Amino acid sequence: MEWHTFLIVVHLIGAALGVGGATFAEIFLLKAVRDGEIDPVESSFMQVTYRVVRVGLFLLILSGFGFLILYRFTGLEERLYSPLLWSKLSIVVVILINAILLQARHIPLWLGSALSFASWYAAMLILPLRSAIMPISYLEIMGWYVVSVAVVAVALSIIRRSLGIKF
Amino acid sequence: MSTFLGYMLVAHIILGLIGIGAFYAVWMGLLKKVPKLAFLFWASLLGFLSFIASWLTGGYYYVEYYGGAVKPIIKAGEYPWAHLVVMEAKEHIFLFLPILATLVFLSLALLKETALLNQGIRKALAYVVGFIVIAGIAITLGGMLISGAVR
Repeated sequence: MEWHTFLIVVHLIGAALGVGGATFAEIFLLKAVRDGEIDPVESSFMQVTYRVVRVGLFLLILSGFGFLILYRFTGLEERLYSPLLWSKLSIVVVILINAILLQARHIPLWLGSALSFASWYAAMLILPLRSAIMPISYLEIMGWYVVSVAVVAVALSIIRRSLGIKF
Repeated sequence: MSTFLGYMLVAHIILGLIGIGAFYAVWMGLLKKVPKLAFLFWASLLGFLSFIASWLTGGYYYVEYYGGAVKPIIKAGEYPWAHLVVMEAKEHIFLFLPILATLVFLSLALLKETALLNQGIRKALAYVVGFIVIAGIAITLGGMLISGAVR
C-alpha cells in the first residue's frame, strides 16, 4: 500500500471514530442528565465514548501530519499554505482546548457540547467539501464555522428543552 | 536531502507530536478530580524523552542541512518571514521545552500521591504543563509555515 493511501485510511478511521464518538457522547450525555443525575453505568458509557474520541483525535492528528510530511518530501509544499488546511488545524486546536476547558470546568456545558459537536463535524467535512467551496479564504471558513457552532448550540438547546433537560 | 536527513526530519516531527500529546495527557490528568500519579509520571516521562529526542534530531537536521540548503531558498523566496520571524522564534521557544519537560517530569517523579491533593501544587504544575502544550502547538504550526515556504 502506498503511503498516501495508508494515510487516507488512517485519517478516515480517525475522523469516523472522532465524529461518531462526539455524536454518541452528546446522546449519552442527554440521556444521562435527563433524570437529573449521572449514575455509574451512564458514567462508564461516557468514559468509554470519550476514550474513543481521544483515539480518533490521535489518529487524525498523526495521519494529518503524515500528509504534511508527504507534501514536504514530494515537492507539494504549497499545500501547506492552503486556507482549508489551516482552518482544519485551527478547528482541531479548538477541540483540544475545549476538552481542557471542559475537564477544568471553565466552560459552560452547553457551549462545550456545541463546540465539540460542531468542531468534529466541521473538521470532517472541510476537506471533502473543498471542490464545492473553493476558492474561499481562511476567515470565511472560520466565519462559517462560528455560525455552525451557534446553530448547533441553538439546536441542542431546543432538543434539551423538548426533553425537559436543564444544564 | 539524503535519506538519513529525511529520517531525522520525520523523527523530529513525530517525536515532537508524541511529546505534545504526552504532555496534553498530563495536563488533562492534572485537571481530574483525583489525579493518578503513576499515569502522570509515565506520561511525563514519555513526553520528556520525546522532546529530548526531537531536540537532538531537529538540531542535527538544522545544523547539517537547514542552514545551508533550506534557509537560503526561504530567504530568497516569496515568504522570507518564514525564516526571519517564525524560525527565529521557533529556535528560541524550542529551547524551553525540554527544560520545562525535565522540570515537570522530576516534580512528578519526586512527588508523593498525597502531594497531588494539594491544589496549589496541582495548579502550578498544570500551568507549566499548559505552557508546554501551547508552546509545543505554536512551534509545530511554525514548523509547518517554514516547510510550506520552501518552494
